[in-house]
Amino acid sequence: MMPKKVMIVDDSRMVHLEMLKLLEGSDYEVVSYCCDGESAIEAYRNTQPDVVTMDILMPGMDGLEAARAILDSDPNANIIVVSSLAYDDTIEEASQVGAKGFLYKPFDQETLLAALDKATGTAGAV
Amino acid sequence: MAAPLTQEVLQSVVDHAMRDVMPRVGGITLLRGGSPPMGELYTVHTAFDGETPVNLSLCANAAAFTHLTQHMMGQEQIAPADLEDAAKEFFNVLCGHVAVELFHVTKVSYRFRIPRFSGGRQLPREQEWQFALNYSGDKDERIQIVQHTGASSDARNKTEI
Repeated sequence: MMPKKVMIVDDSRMVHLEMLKLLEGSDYEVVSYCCDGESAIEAYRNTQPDVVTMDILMPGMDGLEAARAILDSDPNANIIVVSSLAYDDTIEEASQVGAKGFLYKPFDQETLLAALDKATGTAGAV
Repeated sequence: MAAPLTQEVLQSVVDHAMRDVMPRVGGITLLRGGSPPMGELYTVHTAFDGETPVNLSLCANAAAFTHLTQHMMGQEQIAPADLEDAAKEFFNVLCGHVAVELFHVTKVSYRFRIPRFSGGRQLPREQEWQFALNYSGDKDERIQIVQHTGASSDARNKTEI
């Protein structure tokens, strides 16, 4: 089975490196990394990933705005919002934007994979 | 019921967040106390937007930031740019936990600005400090986190969320 394609959007290279480590050997392959919202919108069009992990707090366009733009162009996009701030209103706003999940930093491999499975609709698949 | 944000409460929140986040993210077990960091130093800082002004600066020695970076990257070889990236990401996670815990205590939302990293000890004058917490690790790590009024010496240009 082909691995599912993941696009990581985070201004921190550390998050990119961490996700690469956590996803090694899994059903997910990181195909794109962007460090800001503007380039994420462009990269999404070119890469067409199965799922996007989107940091909120980034210089310039924030992650929620970038998520909205991606979902405007592709309402079926699977976006997981990632943040160190786990406020109810942040989670609610992410949900209203159309995000399929929320990851609170720091996260472990199990939590990350569960969020990716849920966003791509493979959670619980036999 | 919401509680007012006193400096005692804030100090407790910051200390709890440090003890929780540093081992998990930085791989460093902290002991409270010890002398402030000396030698080759770096500082990360941010300001929180909320009901009560909160400005946090974390100053640590090279050993602390190096070990933190090595742990986050999972490798011994690191570059200066790696250290800055790791320091900012660690501080981002720490401040997120501080903000969430502040909300639980005060029922007030606190947002913070993108952390800024500087070489050296970039702290405001001690007259502006409201508290300082010192920590040490078992591999010569020395960390000081300071809550202060106003901007730190390098925080003139702030990036709003």
